Amino acid sequence: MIEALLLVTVVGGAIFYLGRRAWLRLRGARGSCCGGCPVGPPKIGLAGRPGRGFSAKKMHTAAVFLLAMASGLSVVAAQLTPKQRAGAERIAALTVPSPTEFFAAIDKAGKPDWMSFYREPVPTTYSTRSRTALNLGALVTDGYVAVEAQDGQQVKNTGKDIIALAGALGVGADVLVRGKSIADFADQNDWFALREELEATTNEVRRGMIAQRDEALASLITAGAWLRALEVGSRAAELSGEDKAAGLLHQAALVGWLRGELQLLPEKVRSDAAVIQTDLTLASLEETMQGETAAEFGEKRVLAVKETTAQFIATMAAKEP
Amino acid sequence: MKISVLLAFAAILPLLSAAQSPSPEPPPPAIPLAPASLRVRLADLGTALSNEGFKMRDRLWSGRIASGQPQRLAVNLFRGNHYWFCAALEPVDGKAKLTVFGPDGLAVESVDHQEPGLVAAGVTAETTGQYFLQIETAGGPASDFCLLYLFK
Repeated sequence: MIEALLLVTVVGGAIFYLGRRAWLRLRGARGSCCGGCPVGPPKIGLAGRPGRGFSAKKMHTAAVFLLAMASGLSVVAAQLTPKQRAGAERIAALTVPSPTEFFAAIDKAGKPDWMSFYREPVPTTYSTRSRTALNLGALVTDGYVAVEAQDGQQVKNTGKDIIALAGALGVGADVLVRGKSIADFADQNDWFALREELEATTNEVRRGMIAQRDEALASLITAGAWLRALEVGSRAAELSGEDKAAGLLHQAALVGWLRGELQLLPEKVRSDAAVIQTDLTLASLEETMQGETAAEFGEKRVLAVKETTAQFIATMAAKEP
Repeated sequence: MKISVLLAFAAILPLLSAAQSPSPEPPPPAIPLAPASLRVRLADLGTALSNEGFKMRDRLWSGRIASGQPQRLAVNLFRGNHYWFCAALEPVDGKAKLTVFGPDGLAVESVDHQEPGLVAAGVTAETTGQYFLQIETAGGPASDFCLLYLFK
């Protein structure tokens, strides 16, 4: 409100000044100021133009300053209301960042030893499709970790496991070509192309799931990928001890949205043990991340994120009896 | 140099053939598929930015903007990363404004680029969190748009 009043005052004042000056100049007969004022020919010109005295220059500068202030305020005034923010479109493939975006930011905060984030090889068969989907998502993130480590063999191994799990979900044929591309790019050490190929592979699997009217699995793949990314990110933040790295874990809105996606699933799917576990894990993370700004994301919260996600990923990947 | 251009083009091929972004809900029929010409123009710009080290997201966001009806998309950005959001417009003489809003809803400082049928905004995220892209017409008739998301 105060900003709006200030804006109106400043813009109004500037318009009044410029309008008055133009009118006076039009009316002017003597000198080149206004004809009515007793100012003689100026001693100090402005930009080589005669007729603008020092006082005119000062006034001109003041007007420019006022206008600059006004335009600055108009930038501040550009603001979305909470309703507009809530109504913004959300698309899983763009609203959810790619793990490589997250890892790029971690890399800037302090170069971690990416190989130290490798996991033991995980099983490629699970008794339920929901667990298979969650593990597929986590494996894709492992692929990004291997790319960050620039470890071609690890990328190829992970790629094979991704194809195996995609096959178990009935979309193996859709991503078979991607698997070959991943292997080829890994052989060529083309890390740039590999990052894009991994994201394309994930989207291919998700699209296959949606084509099969299995949206629930698509949501679980995204959740699995992001929970594994948070596990890696929290460990990197713990190891670096940098506030900047810790602040990257401030993802309450994203976690809240992932959770919201699970709530939209049919009740039958939501009663699945793996889905319940995923929801509980996301709820716990949302609580941990709530109410803090990124700058205040302290060590305690970093450890909480790490423990919650590590436990979830280990439970989901555990070999079934 | 030639090889890098070819690789960048190969990377963008999935974009050219991409269907609408998948979502758990049935795809809304109201949002039209972006015309191929829009995607091709974006591919040109995307390739140029790829050469600067920017990576392209695998999906595009498309829709239609009319006077007084801006479109908004929520994205999650990370502190320290650089982002470019590029939108192609149809018709080419359509004018649009692309604004990036921060987690607090305030517009963030951006480097803006404009040419006929194209508008782009580059930002460096100063904080981690949910940001909002807003695309709106800057006068003139309604336009179809297609947006590409890149990061570094």
